[in-house]
Amino acid sequence: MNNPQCSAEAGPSRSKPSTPRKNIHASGSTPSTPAQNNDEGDNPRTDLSAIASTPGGTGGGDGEGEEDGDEERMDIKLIQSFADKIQHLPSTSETDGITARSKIIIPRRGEKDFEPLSETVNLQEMMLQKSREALFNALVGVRGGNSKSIAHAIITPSNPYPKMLITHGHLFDTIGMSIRYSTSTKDQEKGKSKGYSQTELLPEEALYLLERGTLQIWVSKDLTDEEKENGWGEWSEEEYGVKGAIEMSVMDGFGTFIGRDGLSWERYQAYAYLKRLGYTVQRTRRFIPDHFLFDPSPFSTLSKESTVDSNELHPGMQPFHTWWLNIPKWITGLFRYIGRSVKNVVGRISGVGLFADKRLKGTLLEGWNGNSYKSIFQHLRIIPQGHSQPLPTRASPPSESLKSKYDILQHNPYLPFYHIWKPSAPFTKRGWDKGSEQGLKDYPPTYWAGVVDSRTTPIPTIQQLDEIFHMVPDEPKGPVKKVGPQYIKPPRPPRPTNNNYNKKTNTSNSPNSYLQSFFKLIGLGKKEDDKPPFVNIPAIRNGDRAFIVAVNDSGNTGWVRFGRSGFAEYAPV
Amino acid sequence: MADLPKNGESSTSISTPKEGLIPLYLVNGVATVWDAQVAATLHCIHNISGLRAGTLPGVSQQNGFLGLPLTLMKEETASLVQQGIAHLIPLPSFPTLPTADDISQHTAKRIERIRKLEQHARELEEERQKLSSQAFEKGGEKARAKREARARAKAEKEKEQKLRDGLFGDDTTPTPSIQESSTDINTHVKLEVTVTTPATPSGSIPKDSPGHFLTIPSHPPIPSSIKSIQPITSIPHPLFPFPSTPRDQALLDVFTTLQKRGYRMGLGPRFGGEYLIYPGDYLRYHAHFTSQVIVQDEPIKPSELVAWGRLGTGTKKAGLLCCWTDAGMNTKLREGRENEEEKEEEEGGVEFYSLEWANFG
Repeated sequence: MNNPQCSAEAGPSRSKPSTPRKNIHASGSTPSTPAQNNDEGDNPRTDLSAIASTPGGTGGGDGEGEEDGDEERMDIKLIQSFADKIQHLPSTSETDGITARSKIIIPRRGEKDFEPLSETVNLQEMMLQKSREALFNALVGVRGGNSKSIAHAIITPSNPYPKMLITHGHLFDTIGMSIRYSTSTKDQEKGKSKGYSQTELLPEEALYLLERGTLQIWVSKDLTDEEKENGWGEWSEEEYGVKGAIEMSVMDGFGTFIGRDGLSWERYQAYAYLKRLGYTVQRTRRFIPDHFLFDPSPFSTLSKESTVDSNELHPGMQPFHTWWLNIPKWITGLFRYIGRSVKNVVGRISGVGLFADKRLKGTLLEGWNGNSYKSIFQHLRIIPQGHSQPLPTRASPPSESLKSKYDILQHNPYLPFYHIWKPSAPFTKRGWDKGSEQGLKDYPPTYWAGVVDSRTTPIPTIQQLDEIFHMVPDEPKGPVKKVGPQYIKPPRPPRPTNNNYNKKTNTSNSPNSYLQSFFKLIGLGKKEDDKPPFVNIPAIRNGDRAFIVAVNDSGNTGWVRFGRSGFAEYAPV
Repeated sequence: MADLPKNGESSTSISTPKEGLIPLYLVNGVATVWDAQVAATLHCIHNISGLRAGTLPGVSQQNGFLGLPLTLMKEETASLVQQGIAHLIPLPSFPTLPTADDISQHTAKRIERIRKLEQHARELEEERQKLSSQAFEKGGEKARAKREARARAKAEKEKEQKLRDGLFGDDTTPTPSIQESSTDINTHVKLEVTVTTPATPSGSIPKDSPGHFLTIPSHPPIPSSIKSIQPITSIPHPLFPFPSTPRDQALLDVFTTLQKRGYRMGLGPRFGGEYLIYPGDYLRYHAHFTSQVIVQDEPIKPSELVAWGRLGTGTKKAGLLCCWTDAGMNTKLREGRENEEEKEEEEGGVEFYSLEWANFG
């Protein structure tokens, strides 16, 4: 069944060979189709076969496709469909010795090693050769586009955050941050306004746009005032570029931006993965470089800084929600403990004195005087339970070891690095306000995501998880969904169905059914008393707080969700 | 290989600093490949496929099929470097700027190239217009008569419309014909403005330029900076600290041993192992094994055996236990062993056992 040429030849050998072909092209023409099929993960090989099986699904490849949903082999038809769509240089640019389409030579090797081959093996070889051709022809695409639709930015050694010069397209609705600068006193004397703002890009934003072929970044040395006066570092229509600067290649871009400001390969790949699917992705406030959070305007400095500080300590938390809020809890706990021991003593005395219930004497239940199962369990519990209980503390990393704001990720790599909004979710850069508390309240992100490397990162400790669960907001509560994260199902009262029933019977007006419904009501009423309490399984599975983690192995991103739930919160007794 | 045309760039833009060695560009500890021809060579000759990690130009909103750069696994990189097939070129964390002369030369070249492109595009456009006007005329008398009749009908209709507008419409939306008849100064100014506005941009800068295809280069436009970097030819290196622990060494040995035997390795974590092991090109074959690399003397729990066996069978593969012993340890163990086993040991100290889930009946 794993025979490759079987599936490869499936189309031609069928009576209606055009159908699967057409399907492939149909799926190919809409770029969103592969993306939609992509919920499984991003192993290109796996996804490819998953997508490939969809168009072939009408034919005989159906069974195989379903069985091998997690298979890792690539299908030539799919590669070809991508190879057909990639962007080449237009034929008009065949000047200057630049070829529009470069031909890739597929090296063949070891032909002499093969013994004389039978017919089928030759065919296999041919198929393989074709797949390789398709694969490498899909790699010769050229980044870029019409000069009128490409945005431009400039980068200098002193400011490694590309500054936007020309902005094109809707991608910039969610990418880039504006920074206010105050003008120098000299310029102010000249009558310029007090400050000016410009849009600059985070490393991952710049790299994503660059490798997408949407943005041209110009590299320039640091400019003196005189050079600036002469228009250096500005877009020049006559030069078709930025004066005194050269284009940054995508290769340079990777070298420049990866490793900067906490942007590891894994984080970049998670970012690009989501952006390619159309999500809005922003860093969490604590990991936005200081450069972007700095506000030079003097009147707002004080208030801004104070909010930043509290945010950095406990982002996403309500202000002042720190450990000492738990003190009242501890006090009540202490009182409860004292109360219980007093009760115990009283109970023992009364037990002795009144010779009441001697059956429990000498058991763990000695001193229990409740009247429900719940109270028994509560009595038996020695170790405190529930997420509201503080964890045994673990030494936090010494602050002097945290040189940059990204060093904390060494201690807890699971800390949410990105906020993710669904493409449909409302989002504006202004409203989001660089991830400020109010901004997150107004535009709540759909997901909080951490990014880890699968080879070096162990499963999170409970302390690490707890730290994160304290940051993230409560999961939304809503009706149970068929797929995806589950939310709490409202316990459905039996009334509505009954009412319906009643209505129906009312219209039919049969006395018999009245009687029936009457009995039913009584029956239900009786049942409700000793019915086991409602246990919301989806809610337990979902948890009350959750975040997702992109697990990256050598460039291969998978997504994992951690949810917090406890049986204490959903006790069935 | 070096003289092959690069994609969208002149073929001389990059040449290998050391002849014969494939350059792998090191970005933050990960080796990348930026050339489709190099990717093809690695894939077909050296049995190393890497992982395509870049947005595919032209089909950029999907993750199903990605393009260059190719990123290589640590094991892939290490084996290529150790075999002397490739070397590593660490990319600088900020592109080194060429001299002012180089920049101005490059700029001049760019201006020339784009002028040529735009000129070409303009000519094409003119050509196209000429052709279309020719085709327009070529329709013959009949077509022209038809066209004229259509135009007349349209004009009449418009006139009627205007008349009606003039009669019933209010003054806020006057039609040009009425405006012209009235001798108001304002309208004259307006008319002038409407005439001059389109003229201004075309006069100052060639804004009507047809635009051109702007390539975002994948390789540095002035490659001198990359050329000056000293390539890394031996590992582990501070910038690529790969085989540094016994486990790293085990991974690398397992990888190279399988590679020598003609297998190809893909990423395996999604299948619960280090690698997926293909009997040949993954374009043609399914993976046959999921590997479990076991470093010397690591105990194996029975439940792990069950898990690995189940795991392999569940994904239509066999589990492959790759037991690695340190080469130093090997020489000691080798004494007093049979010849056959000795041979196996020499291949990097890895023994393989395949594992399948089976039952009776």
